[in-house]
Amino acid sequence: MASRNRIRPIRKPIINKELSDFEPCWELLRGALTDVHTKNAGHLSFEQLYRASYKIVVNRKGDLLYQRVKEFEETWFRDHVMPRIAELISVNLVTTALIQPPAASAHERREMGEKFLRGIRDVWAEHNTAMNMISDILMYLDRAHTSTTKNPPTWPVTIGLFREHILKTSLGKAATELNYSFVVFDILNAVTLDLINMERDGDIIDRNLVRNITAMLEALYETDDEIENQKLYLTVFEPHYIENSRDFYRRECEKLIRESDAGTWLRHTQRRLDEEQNRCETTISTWTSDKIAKVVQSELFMAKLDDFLSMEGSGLKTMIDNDRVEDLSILYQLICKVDKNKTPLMGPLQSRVLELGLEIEQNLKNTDFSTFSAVAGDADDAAEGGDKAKVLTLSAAAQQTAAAIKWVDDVLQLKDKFDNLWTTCFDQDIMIQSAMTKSFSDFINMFPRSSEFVSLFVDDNLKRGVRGKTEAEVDIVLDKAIVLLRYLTDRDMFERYYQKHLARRLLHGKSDTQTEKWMVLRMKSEMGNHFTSKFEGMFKDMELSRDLTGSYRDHIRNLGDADTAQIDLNINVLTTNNWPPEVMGRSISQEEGTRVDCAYPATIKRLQDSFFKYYLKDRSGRVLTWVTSAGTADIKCVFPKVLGKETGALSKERRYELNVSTYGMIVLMLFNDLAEGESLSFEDIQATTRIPAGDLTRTLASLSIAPKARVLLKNPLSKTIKSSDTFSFNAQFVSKAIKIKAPTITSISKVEGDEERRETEKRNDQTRAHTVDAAIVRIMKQRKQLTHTQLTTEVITQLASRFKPDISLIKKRIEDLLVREYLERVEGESAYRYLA
Amino acid sequence: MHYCKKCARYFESAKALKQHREASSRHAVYVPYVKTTTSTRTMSSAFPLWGTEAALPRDEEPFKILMSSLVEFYSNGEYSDLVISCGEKEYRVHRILVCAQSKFFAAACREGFKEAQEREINLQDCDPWLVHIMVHYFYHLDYDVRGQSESGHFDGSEIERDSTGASEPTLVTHAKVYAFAEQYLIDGLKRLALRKFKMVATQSLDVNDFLQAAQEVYTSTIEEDRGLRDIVVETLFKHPAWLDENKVQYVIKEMGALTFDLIMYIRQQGRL
Repeated sequence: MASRNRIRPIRKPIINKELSDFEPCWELLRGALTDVHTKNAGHLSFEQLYRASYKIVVNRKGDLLYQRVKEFEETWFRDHVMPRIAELISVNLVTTALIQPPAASAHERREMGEKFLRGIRDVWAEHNTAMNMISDILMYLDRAHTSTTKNPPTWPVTIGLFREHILKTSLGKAATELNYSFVVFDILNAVTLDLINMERDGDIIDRNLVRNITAMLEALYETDDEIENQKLYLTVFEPHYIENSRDFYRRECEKLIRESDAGTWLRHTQRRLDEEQNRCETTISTWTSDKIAKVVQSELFMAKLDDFLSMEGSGLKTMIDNDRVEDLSILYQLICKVDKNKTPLMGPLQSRVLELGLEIEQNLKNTDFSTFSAVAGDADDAAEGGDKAKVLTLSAAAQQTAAAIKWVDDVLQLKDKFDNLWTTCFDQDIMIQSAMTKSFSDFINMFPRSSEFVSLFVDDNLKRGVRGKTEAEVDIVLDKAIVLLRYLTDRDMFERYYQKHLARRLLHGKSDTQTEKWMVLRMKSEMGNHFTSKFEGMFKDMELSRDLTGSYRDHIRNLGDADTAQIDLNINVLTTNNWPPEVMGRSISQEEGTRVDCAYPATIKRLQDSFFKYYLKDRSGRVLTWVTSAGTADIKCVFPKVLGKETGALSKERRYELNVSTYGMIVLMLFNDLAEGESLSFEDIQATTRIPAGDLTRTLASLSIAPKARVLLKNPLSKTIKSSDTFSFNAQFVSKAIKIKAPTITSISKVEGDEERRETEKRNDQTRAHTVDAAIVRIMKQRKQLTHTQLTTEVITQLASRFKPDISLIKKRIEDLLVREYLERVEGESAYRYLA
Repeated sequence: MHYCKKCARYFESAKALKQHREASSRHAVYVPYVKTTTSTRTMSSAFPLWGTEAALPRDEEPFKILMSSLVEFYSNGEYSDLVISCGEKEYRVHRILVCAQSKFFAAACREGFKEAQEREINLQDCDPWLVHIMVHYFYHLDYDVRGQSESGHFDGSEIERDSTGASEPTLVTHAKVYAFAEQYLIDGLKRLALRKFKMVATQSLDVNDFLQAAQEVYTSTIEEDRGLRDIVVETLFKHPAWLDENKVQYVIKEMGALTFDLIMYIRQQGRL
């Protein structure tokens, strides 16, 4: 180039020259291709080869080159590659792999299969490497030529030879000899799957080899267009693999259900899932992970899930009953993978909770608490009823109490058990929690006395909290009680019982006020203000009364009245509405029609008047009713020296402080005026004191039967009080203790008898009726007009926090309100309108 | 940048590019054929987008630091693991950098052939000046047709330039660089050459240079490569007066493909 500014003669395209250009270039390339195939390319210059092919393409001879290369490769493949594979395919191999069910031993089959696969792999590896190098050389051809024509690039075409001429044909003579048509791919699949099944059965196989084979299938496509989801691995091998695995696991599952138990099955399933996952990572392909997991889940796990779960001795029932935590964890994990709703687990779990719950109730009926209590005497508050020695024969009421405590204890234990399973096995699954809660709620509410029993349980624990148990322990128990409370639907019933029990605890000072208040606080946060308002009122009454007692005492001291000062009055003024009617003595007045005040001794009467006067000073217009049945009295008794006894306790004068019920005091005061040796009959006493017969019986029993406080002698000596009995002062009474508590044989038994129970329910129904009335009126006042169903639903939702009202009750109340003209019917519709 | 890889053409807007692609099935998006020796081939996430976190403006500084240190390694040849030779010259370069920018070099460095074993690629039949431009581009992502004399590590003080000392006609050089980049599959360089060619063709233009370049364009690349051809045709169309010149007539007469393209272009413009 002498001068770049001058126009050079144009390079004329000379056809002949181009052709002659092509041939030398092609010769060069052809030699290179051969060298590449014979692994002899080390001396070849890539640059030179690339430039040769580039030159051909630029001179528009790409098509020709493409054809030549294709021809060359096909010829090469036919002459050098296919024979090697054909050699591998023996009649024996085809027979073993495809035709007969394996007659050869696993070892033989493995040897044969691995040999075959190794052959395929080696040939593939060589072919693959060669094709890589060749397509590198022909890179420009692919870039410029094949992308403008419809021909696929050289790489898929040449690599595709492997598919067309090996995998999809039957090489060798085996096909004709056996008169059986197959393609190599069939053998490849069969052998590979056989190997995998061997591994599943515990053999050790060449995983790497299998992985090489699957990698080959991943690199090959159905067509030369190389559509991504048309890889041979996906289109041919994987479906086979899945189908084969499905069969394998179906058989395995059937075997398991015949031969093993649910625990083994669960562990086995878990292990198989892990294995398959691992197999996909090391041996097959991660593409299959999800699919094979689904196969194992459906064939091995879901297929016989119900059968396994209901298996006698190892199924879900046994797992739950024996706290097989590990089994349940695996079960939960597996079910989570299969079913988001966990229905297969949830159903049986719920019914098991229900079953166990009903079992508790059943057990309760079958247990004889009269003997039971003798063993667990301290669990029984009836111990108050007498000495421990006497516990053996418990009163019916005390047995009932024991039953109640046992019931709640059992329910709590059951709850603990399932809570434990929930945290350790079920991953604190919210759905399972709500399902279990529902089941608990169901069986607890199916038990008619649940409200009463829960209250009794709290009662028992609060009382026992004072003696023995540490605060922390009580806390835990009460926490659990609150949980139970959540399950109760008839909360108004519970409220009623709790009120009753609380009243007794407060009046007899049997519990720690701090704990009581704390408990009420918890209920308040759990169920709302209205639920605990009465309880809080009761606490307030108690506090006011304490102040009142104190100030009254000061008042008396200031008066300096020596006569009344001898009696120390401790008074509790109770607001009628806050306290249960039983305590207020209203039930008695209802039963007997008129209220009879018993005759108090004069000194007591004076005291009452004095207090009443004091009380009215600040609170005029109030009425005080004395509830004799709820009070106690401390009496200082003097037992004179018994004549004729010079030694022992009887020889001295004895002073005791006797703690008796108010009735007891009244009765004992009668004996003060009696001369020595005189006696009073039951009728005499009743006539004088006007104490109701039932109360009197109990009072006398406590004073004349229990040996600890037998200050009266009964004639005749027997264990029961009859109206014909007579009583006299027991001058010979001796006790080691100075302070003696006369056992209270109370009518207020811990558990209600059937009759009392009916009574309570009746009363509760009355209250409910009022509550429903109030709710209806409240709703109608607000909404003015509502249909019957709307109104019913609203009432139910409003009252849900307190109890579950009967539909028939609501209907009855509506009718009643219609009669009372709070509501009127809307013409032609089943609706109501509010009447202001 | 709206660029049709297949035709190596730029478009002013995405819409124009889209129309262009839809015009013919041949203009389907050009996807380079890539094959790997391993079984998995995923192209989708080859390049993470720079600006995925839209809120954070891109910091140019690290980019500059990287580029300047690349130039440094080019100058002193440190860590070099490949030699590109051409005639007397030897360039000590870095495989990773070269292979990342050219599929040709990537393939040449792959196991199997002589180059991979000897760690040397001999571009014996190439214009040493173009090889120099290429290597310079690898490290600077730019080139300059007016002789640059950076203190390279290669042998020989300066690439032999035209003995007359006259400056190389720029359009021809760009056309040659373009063809060279196409041959050795350096897409970045090809784009750059195209842009430079276009700039010169629309600004300072010398008829002689243009004619020479036109010949280069129409002989050095395959017909389907539209990039420079379109610019040549457009430029010719914009300067109808040139057709009165003998030398221009001579060239057009000789080059049937150019004549054909020109007629089709005029037809497209609605003038025929």
